[in-house]
Formats: sequence, C-alpha cells, structure tokens
Amino acid sequence: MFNVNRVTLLGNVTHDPELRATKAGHPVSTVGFATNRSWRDEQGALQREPEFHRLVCFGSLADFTEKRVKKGAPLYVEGRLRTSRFEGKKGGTVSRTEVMVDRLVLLSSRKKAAVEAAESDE
Amino acid sequence: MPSLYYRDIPSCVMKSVNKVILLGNVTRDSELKALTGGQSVCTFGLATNRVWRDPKGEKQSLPEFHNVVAWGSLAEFCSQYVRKGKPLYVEGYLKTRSWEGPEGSKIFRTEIVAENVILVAPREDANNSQTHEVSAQEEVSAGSD
Repeated sequence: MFNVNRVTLLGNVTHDPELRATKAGHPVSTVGFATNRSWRDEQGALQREPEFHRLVCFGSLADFTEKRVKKGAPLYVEGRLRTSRFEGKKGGTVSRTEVMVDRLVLLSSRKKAAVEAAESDE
Repeated sequence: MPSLYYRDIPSCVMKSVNKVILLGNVTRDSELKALTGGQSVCTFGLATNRVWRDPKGEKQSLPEFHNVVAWGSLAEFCSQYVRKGKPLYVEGYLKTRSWEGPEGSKIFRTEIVAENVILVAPREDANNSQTHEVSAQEEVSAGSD
C-alpha cells in the first residue's frame, strides 16, 4: 500500500531562518514556526495554546527562506514529518521531529509581481 | 465594504492550521490507559514508508515512525480495533512535549493527536455484503480537544 505522510501548517515564523550546508554542500535551512490551537473549555471560555514546529528546507527552497522569510511572517507550509536523531550538546542522542517542507507560501506579500511561493526541487 | 483581511480587524488573530494526514501500518498494538481525571488515552505506533527513485533511477524506501495518541471515545475505539500490522488512516494535529531528561538534557517527543481514525484493511469476510463505516471521529464539544 502506498503510504502517506502529509503535514499542512498555517502559522507564523518564530525565528529567522538559519541557513547551513549539508555534508554534500547543499543548502539547508531551519525555520522556527508556531501554530495556535484554540478551543472552548467546559465554561465556554476561549483557550489558546501555541505549538512550536521546526521546518527544514533544502536546496532552492532553503535559499528562498533565507531571502524572503523573516521572524513574525505568516506562512502556509506543506511537507512531511521526519524524526531525526543527532548528537546532543551534552552527549548522547537527541531526537527531534521536524517538518521537511516541500511547499511554502508567503502570506504577507501584497505585491503581485514578487515571487510569493516556492516548492522543493525534488 | 467591510475589510476581509484579519490584519485590518482589531484584536483579530489569524487562525492557524496544524494538520497531519498519515496512511501507514500500525507498528505496535494500541495501549489504553485511564488517567486519574477519568479520561481514557490510547497510544500506538504507525509507520509510513517513503518511496522514491534516487538520481541513479533505483527505487529507495525509508520508513518514518510516528507516535499517535487518541483521547476519549476515540481512544476506546482505537484500543479495540487498532492492531499491529494493520493499515490505518490517521488525521490529527502535531503536539510536542518536552521535559528534562537525565543529566539536564531536554527531551522532546512529538505526537500526532488523532481526530479521525479509519481502518483501511479489507474486511476478512468478503462474502459479507453489508457495509458499515468502521471509523471514529473525535466529537467536537466543549471540554474536548
């Protein structure tokens, strides 16, 4: 059976993108992102809780985020979940679940001429 | 004409979207637990296989393992019907918890909180022509997530 692993997020950037390079020399960026979940409790009062995500972008998508994505920007994101394990600062393995982005749309841009969205090269 | 942009409406915050859709196979039988508050919670593992062709044209596949959590009546449903090895559709949202691990390091655990679970395996008894929906959806009511 063909499997599906899809994430759709609409929210705001919490940290400016950090651009780095993979071992092979390809650009990769990580972007802090937040979504707010709101619901009504038993008393009917509106409750809101933020959820923090880590977005990871590769290739031209990474370059795009470095140029166009800033802290506070509203974004629409599509991607897939990936849990990666790496060396923690204090030794031992740390695991983090990240969203590998394959489509990103800037929501704050009002200019129609400017590029507002980017997709992954894959 | 009234403004339709959230940023023009005072005290109005853009609504968020946090949606996950998974279609994969259950890796661990579901575990049902009753919390001290009386709530039931059910957890299980789900794996999704990503298949792609590498630059050489060879087929590659890599599994991704997810932790799914269900609450309330959905938890009861999952504990009864979600079985290791079975294919499953899960719809929900991402929730990450963190706590201090040993030696002061921070441990993160991201889970998918299920809102809709559908059993997608074909029924064992093909002769049974009666079709009924075997799925469960979280009831959206005050007090539930």
